[in-house]
Amino acid sequence: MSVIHFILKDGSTRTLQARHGASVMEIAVLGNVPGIAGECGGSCACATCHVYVADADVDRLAPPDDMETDMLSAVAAERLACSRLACQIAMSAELDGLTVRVPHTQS
Amino acid sequence: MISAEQNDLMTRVGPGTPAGDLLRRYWQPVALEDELAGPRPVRAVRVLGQDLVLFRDEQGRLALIDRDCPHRGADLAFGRLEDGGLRCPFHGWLFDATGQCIDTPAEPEGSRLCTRIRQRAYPVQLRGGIVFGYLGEGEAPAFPEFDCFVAPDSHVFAFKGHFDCNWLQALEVGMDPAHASYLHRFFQDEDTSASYGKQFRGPSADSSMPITQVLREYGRPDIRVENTDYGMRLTALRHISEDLTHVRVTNVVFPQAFVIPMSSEMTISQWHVPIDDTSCYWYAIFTSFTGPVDKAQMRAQRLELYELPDYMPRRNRANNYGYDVREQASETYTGMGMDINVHDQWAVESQGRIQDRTREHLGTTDKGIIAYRRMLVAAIEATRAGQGAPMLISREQASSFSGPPSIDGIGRKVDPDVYWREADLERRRKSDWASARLAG
Ligand code: FES
Ligand code: FES
Ligand SMILES: [Fe+2]
Repeated sequence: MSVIHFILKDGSTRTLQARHGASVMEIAVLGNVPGIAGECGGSCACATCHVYVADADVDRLAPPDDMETDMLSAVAAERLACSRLACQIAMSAELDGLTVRVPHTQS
Repeated sequence: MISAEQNDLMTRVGPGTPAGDLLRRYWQPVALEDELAGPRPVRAVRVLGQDLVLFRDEQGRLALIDRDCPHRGADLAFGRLEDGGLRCPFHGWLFDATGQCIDTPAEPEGSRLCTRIRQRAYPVQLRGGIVFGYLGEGEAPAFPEFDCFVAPDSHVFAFKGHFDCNWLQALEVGMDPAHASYLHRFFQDEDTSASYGKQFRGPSADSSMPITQVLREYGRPDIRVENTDYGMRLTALRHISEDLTHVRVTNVVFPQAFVIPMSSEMTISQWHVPIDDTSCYWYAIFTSFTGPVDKAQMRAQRLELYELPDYMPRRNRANNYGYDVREQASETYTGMGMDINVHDQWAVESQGRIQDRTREHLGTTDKGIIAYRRMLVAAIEATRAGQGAPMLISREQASSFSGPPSIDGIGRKVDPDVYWREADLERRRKSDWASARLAG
């Protein structure tokens, strides 16, 4: 088990236990993190799991693949260099302590 | 995909639950008028997890009261309909249509006990062949002047059927325009002139193409969802050629109904009413814009599939819905017969008693469902926060509602929105009762 920190719209931080192998989106949705919808259930098809990865963590992640890059162009909130789709980030021991910020709009 | 908590929040509707409080703010179908036919107009009904009894007293007044006798809890559904009310068979206590106890015959002569006893009674209204009850707090909203509520009795027909699953998944199938191309696919087109009273079997309006063919051959609809003052409108476009577009307009009437076209002459207004958390009834009003409805034929057609007195489907989980391998290979997509109600019933019941939405993956065709869930959760939260439920209609507002337009047809070289508005107007102009309303 690792943990993920979610910075919410109101600026507060919510820390959840993260099962290895689960995606950041699944952990967020099943943990009722507001602002992460995950409508397509992690099929990289809805862009409602958009998050901003903390600067310090960006390099800990493998870069997005083609499909994710395509889908990132459809996010509702502003796309930044640190934008990722949470459903495409699989949790592992190496990502323990990952911090992501929830965008203001998600649809 | 949603969390288990969110799924519970949306699906559970017993007394005191957040979604239950919301749904109780709206009129709910509780029985068909037909269920009160016969020598003893008394029916036990279960709605939103509450057990009630519906009866018509000797003066013709409808009454809906809690089912457990306030004396010692015996079942009033077995009551004696006499002396101006419903009498409990245990000790003879008698209740009138307002729930007031008017007789306690075993008590001493001159006893005034009954003046202090009142069974909870709920407002009821008969509309379009359905008895609606209001189970909520405060004053009931008005009925919007939708077609199904204003068409003459001769032009409406009501029916119902049982679904062995939660109400929300049953409702969601009505916001999913894509499924009709698959679940309801027929590999052969029937002679459309034999389609009376059946859905998806007639010709699409303004064409000779059977709807079955359109649905089968054009399986990737463009779906648009718009919020309206009664809920939402879904427009599904199937592009047949450069000039021809099949346009299907359906509506969600918040919180639990949809209004859809059945054929060029009829529409269906259908509610999904929780019996409890794991079963529901669909109630439908079929509204005819042409001649009177052939009620006997409509009822006979449907009684082939549903068993009285509880309107239980003859095809169900227990007999695999009549699933037939050969039929699935050559005639229908499901192998479960020609009736699309059976297909829908299988689809929603097969999702489980309460669909586990933590395991779903929604696609672009599910945008109606996504929009609806947002609306539902916002309404639940608003009600919970004491801000009141949305889209409750006042008496003054009732007449500002009409339709809602529900169209299935093929437009030729025309903007789809122009097409359905005109097709709707045209249908109203040609209809006796609807044209009278247009003039006024
Ligand atoms: S959950 Fe749909 S793109 Fe991530
Ligand atoms: S294809 Fe939609 S539920 Fe299986
Ligand atoms: Fe259907």
